[in-house]
Amino acid sequence: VENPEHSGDYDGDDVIEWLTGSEARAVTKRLAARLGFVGSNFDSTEILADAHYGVWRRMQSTTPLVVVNPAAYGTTVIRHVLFAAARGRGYRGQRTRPIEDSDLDQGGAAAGSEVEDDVLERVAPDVGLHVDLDLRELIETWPAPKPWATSAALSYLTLTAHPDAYPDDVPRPERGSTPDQARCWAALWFAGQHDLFDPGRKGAAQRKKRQRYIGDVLEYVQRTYGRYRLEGPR
Amino acid sequence: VSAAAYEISVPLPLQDGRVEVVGDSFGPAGLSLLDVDGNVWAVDHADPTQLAVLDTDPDTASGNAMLLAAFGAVAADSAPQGDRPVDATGERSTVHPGGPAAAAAGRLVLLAEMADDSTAHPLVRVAAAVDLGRPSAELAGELRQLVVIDRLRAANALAAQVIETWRFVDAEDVALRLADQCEHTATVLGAFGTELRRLAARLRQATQARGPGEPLALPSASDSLYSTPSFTPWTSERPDTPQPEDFLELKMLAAHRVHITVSRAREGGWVEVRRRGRTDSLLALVPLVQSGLLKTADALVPPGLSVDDFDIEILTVDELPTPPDGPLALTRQAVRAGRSAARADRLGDAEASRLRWTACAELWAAAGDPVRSAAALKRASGDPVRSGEERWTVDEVAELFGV
Repeated sequence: VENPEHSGDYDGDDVIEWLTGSEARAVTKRLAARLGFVGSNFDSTEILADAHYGVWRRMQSTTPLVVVNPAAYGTTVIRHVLFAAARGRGYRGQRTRPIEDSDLDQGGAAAGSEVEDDVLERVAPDVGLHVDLDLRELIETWPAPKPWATSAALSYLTLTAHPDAYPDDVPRPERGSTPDQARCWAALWFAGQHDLFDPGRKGAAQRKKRQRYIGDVLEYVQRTYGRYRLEGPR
Repeated sequence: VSAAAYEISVPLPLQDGRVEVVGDSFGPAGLSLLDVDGNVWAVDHADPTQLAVLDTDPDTASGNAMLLAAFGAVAADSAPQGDRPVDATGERSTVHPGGPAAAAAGRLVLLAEMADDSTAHPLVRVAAAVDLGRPSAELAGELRQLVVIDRLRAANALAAQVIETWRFVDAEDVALRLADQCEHTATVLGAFGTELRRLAARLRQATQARGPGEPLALPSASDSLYSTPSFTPWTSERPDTPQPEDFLELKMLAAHRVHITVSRAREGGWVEVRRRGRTDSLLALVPLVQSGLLKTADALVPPGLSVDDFDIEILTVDELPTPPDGPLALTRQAVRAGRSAARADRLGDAEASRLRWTACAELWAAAGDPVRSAAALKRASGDPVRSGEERWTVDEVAELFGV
């Protein structure tokens, strides 16, 4: 499938914007019909939610996503999602940068390297009552496969809307983390994943596991947010 | 030059410099796909002689090699002459399989896909690659070169990963066959095949061990969030609330934190904290932990609320909500069932074929696709369809892993 990533004037947000529009739905239906997705087993919202998530994942790469044509890029991603489904697979896109930085506990991350790449950054000012309620409703309707991830996502929302809710007696990264990652520390702790922060288990295995869990929580929140963008306010 | 895999009823459709030919819709086992530098060749998985999609850039080496293998030298040479807006309506071109070359192309696509499948056990991928490495006279040589060599080298690297992952082999015939193939491939690869040669030796050594029947190798199941292949159905039943004799106490530890204490809850209990009133919003879902004779949980909540503002429910693990299976998830499950059934067909296992195609039909019906459901049922009632006389080692190895 063609790769429409070149130097251009658009970025991932433009692609996501395009994916939420009517043209993307029409493209999805047309491509799905050509591949043979028919009848009630086809749901363009599900396809577009996966595409939305795939673009977000690509945006997490260290290489900035710059595109010439958001529609062409979005179309390519939709095709990837459809091909994956026709092969019995889910579509995750590519994440080339770990969600959590490599080594907070051993000074691996440079102090002051905080990156504002929050999952909900773009809507943070709007995470008032209505968006918050809608996201919580979506989480209830589409919970994560693992209960700890559902639990952490709910706490994550609370911490996003109320940053001062971070308790003093709950582990938090010392430096080098993004606000998203810091929220996930507390969220996972309230989800019962205390072993991720147990000083007695400190080491590479613990960091790796924590990194994976934080990644899973953020991915789940992003998928939920993608669904919210596609379905609109409830 | 080898024969073309397909005959097409219209000139090759070109748009924006790319050739895109859409063939038949995929069947109940979905499609298999080969992607070389963005050039895509997709075939029906259960009947890989059937083209599903060919989407190539004829100006690239791999795209041109695909066109050559698919439609022959004349078509490939004439393809890059300019844009012809054919197929603008999305109608399918009529494409017919061209005999043994179509079978060889299908074989190439399926085995390359299996060799690339990062979700499969490394030993399955190795087996697919060495199957792929067997000579096939029917397919245009350039595409074989592009597809096969890289995967054989990757298989050599994968071999190093799996050499020490088991102690005993309880499927000696399969292991010895795979060992033979690994050795043969290692010979072809020369200096690049040392790990495959070691793997062959390890397989032979394991067949000579005698022990209480450990499996051939341990599947590397991931506990990643989205690796779960299927989910239990969503239940709309409300969970039980605590019995009246249970003790339940709420206490605000801080403006944002509520502490829940219960005297009795079933094992593995969770607490659902809702905002009482108009919205009934789910504020938190937190696990209960044993605390002496009691169980407790802490939940983060928005500020400005008191204990009277919460509705609390105690849930067991079984009562926790799980994701509903949407149509797309059911489609994926149906395709996976179909692929398993197609493997039984290729192995000539009539009983497994019948059971798996029946399960596949049920899943397609649940996904709302009666056509594919009927196609799967038809296969369930017939004899297994072998795509060729050749038996693939990868299918035998994959069966050992139950994938």
